[in-house]
Amino acid sequence: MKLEEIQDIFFQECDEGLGQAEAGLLALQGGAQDDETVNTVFRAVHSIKGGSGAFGFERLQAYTHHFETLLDQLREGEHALTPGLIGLLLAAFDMLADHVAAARGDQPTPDDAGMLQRLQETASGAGAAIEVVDDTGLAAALDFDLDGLLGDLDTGEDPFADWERDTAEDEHIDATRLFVRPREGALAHGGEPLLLIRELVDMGGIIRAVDASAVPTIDRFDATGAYLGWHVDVPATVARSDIEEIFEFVADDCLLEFKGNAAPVVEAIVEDGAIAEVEPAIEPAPLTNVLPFVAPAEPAKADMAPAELPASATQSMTATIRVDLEKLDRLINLVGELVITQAMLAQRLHNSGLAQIEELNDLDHLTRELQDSAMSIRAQPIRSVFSRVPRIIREVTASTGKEVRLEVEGEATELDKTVVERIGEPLTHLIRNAIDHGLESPEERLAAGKSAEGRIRLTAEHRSGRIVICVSDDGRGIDRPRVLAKAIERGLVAPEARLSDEDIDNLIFSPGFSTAATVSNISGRGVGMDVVRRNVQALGGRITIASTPGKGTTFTLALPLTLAILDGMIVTVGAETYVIPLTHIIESVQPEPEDIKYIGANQPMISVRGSWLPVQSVANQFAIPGAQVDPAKAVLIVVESEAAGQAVLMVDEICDQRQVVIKSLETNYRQVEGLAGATILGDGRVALILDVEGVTTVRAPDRALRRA
Amino acid sequence: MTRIILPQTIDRQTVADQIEPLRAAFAGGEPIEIVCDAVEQIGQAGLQLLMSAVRTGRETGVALSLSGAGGAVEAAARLAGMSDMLFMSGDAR
Repeated sequence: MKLEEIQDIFFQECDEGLGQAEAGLLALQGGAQDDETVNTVFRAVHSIKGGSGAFGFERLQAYTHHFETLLDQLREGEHALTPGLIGLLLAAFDMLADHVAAARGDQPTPDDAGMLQRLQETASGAGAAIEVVDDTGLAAALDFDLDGLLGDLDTGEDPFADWERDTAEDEHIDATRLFVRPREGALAHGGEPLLLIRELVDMGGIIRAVDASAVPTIDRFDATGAYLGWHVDVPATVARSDIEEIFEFVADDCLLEFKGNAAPVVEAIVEDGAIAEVEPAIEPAPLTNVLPFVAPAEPAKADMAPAELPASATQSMTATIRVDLEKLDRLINLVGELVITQAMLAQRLHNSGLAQIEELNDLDHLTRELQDSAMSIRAQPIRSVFSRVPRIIREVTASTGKEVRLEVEGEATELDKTVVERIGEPLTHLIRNAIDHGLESPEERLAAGKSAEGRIRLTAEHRSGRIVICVSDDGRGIDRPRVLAKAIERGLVAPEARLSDEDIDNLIFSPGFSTAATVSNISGRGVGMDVVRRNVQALGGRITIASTPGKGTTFTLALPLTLAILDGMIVTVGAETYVIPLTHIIESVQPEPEDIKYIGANQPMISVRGSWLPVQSVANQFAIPGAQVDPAKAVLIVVESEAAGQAVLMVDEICDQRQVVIKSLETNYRQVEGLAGATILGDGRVALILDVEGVTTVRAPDRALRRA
Repeated sequence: MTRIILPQTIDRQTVADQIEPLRAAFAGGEPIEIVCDAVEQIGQAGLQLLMSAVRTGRETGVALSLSGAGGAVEAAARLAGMSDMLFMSGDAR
């Protein structure tokens, strides 16, 4: 494994550690007082420190050292958990996140002098002076010569004494890290998993940690359950095949994961004190003390369904494996090809009068299930995005003086990794906007008969094949008269226009729109909400507003679960077939001749529900011969785009509505203006997917004209 | 004090045999002593049972001690990396 890959794993584990630390700190803030929560935070920070040292991130290492010192004192009971201390820990955590981001190269190294001073003062002078480790040895750490690294650090005045002591225990730095978890069958067949562990120890393996978190209390204990798992480091000199050979005969009954090189990064998640870090030097136990592997077997419950297993046992079998995203995308691409091929096969059989073949239905179902399963591999819980929100709230409340209570629901809701990555920015702005504009000041709230503390509610759920995220506040609601006045003042709306509440609310998404009296560094620059909507639409999603004066506002984002497939309307134009993403389509109409008017000779307009919309011929855009040219005889699709608002696309015919697998034009051909990609239909023909945004931008209409 | 005496061999069957007595002992609320003197062979199932007892004791507040856990039990616990869990969580003699 290359250094960069190991470093990537370190940063992934940093993210996990930060998530655990923040969850723990928020639990403390919420009133939790148990030692384990403090321990969890400590261990997360400790792990980041250990890894940062090995990779030469001195500033991160130095910072975590002081942070960890205070946490260590806290878990030793040297400090009371006061609100002030929790506030300091949260602020220190935020800076830790900044340090990790800086180490990753995402942002400059934060100025942590003030925070370090506060940490040291709080630690009552227990922290050493701020020092930065001489990096002469850290550069050498890039080849994982930890002995050399530790030697360089061993100066006697090194501020990282604790870290050094801890990592010095990592004798097998050049080792293969394994995770072993026997399943129930390993015991059910009369086997004894401890003998497998013994084999690994005999090979020079060291048990780093044992996961006993799944062991239940005696009232739920099942003698047939397998509840333990082991993290083991085996010297790299031991061939992988030799390790696998140990488990050869219990392959189905024992989970064996190779977790890569055992760089001194982090230890496993510790929950309820149930994963114990183990003294490295385990003396092999006499074999006679362990039950023989082969014993009189009782009938194996090989057919036991997972649902019948003790809940804790099934949980204990949950494990993860890191997979290169490129490999995953290739798999998904191949599944997409399979879906297309299956559709083509079905079409051919249908054309041959063989559509009722039972196996064809089975193949169809299996293919769909395979596609769903493949897509689910890329799915991630939205927790990683939601977890940023508490920090945003801390920052905004600190600068606005507002009091905010956050409620979160549906953090485990899963959606495509790419969507997760891209939704963070819009969501951040919505949260900032909700606090800055939506919520009133404590004084205003009290005067309005509300509690001084405002509420922000963040929810996510799956609904009709999409994910719906809501950001709600219980603030003042949108001031519609003010919004409308500002829009008229800026020429966004004709003065005589009569707009619905919904139309007025949507004006806040207009580029450059802002009603803020003063520009703050939080929001109010008028450059945010339009970007929010554009980003959401770029993901194939929609954003809507529901606002009640005096009671609050809810922004609802409806997003696709994946970007690899989309729901589309299949249309024909001349001899060509196109797909229009359903997310853009409002309705389709077949107009009467009197509904059509012309501006000049060539620009048809159609009256749709009181508004005159421009009709754009797809055939003209792509120079397609033989298409319908008379709007009164064509099919008109009313679409909505960010740039042009509502517009009408003229096509010949609607053929179908279905999910299609998106193929990138850019990857397979080149970028084409007005097209978002391509797909292959069941009959084998290529259909181009329209980029509604691009197609309608060609002739962006005058909003004022449309609204008048 | 309720005493649970473990047999010579702690396999899945004998573990199953000990569950009900242990449940009854915890329900009784009296301090519990698990006597390991006779144990000569113990594997994962036995360690899990002891771990479950330790956890139950911690959660219910019922005092639990492991006596005579020096030989086979200690060796198996060390091999499994569970010494601290089993012997530092309660009163082991």
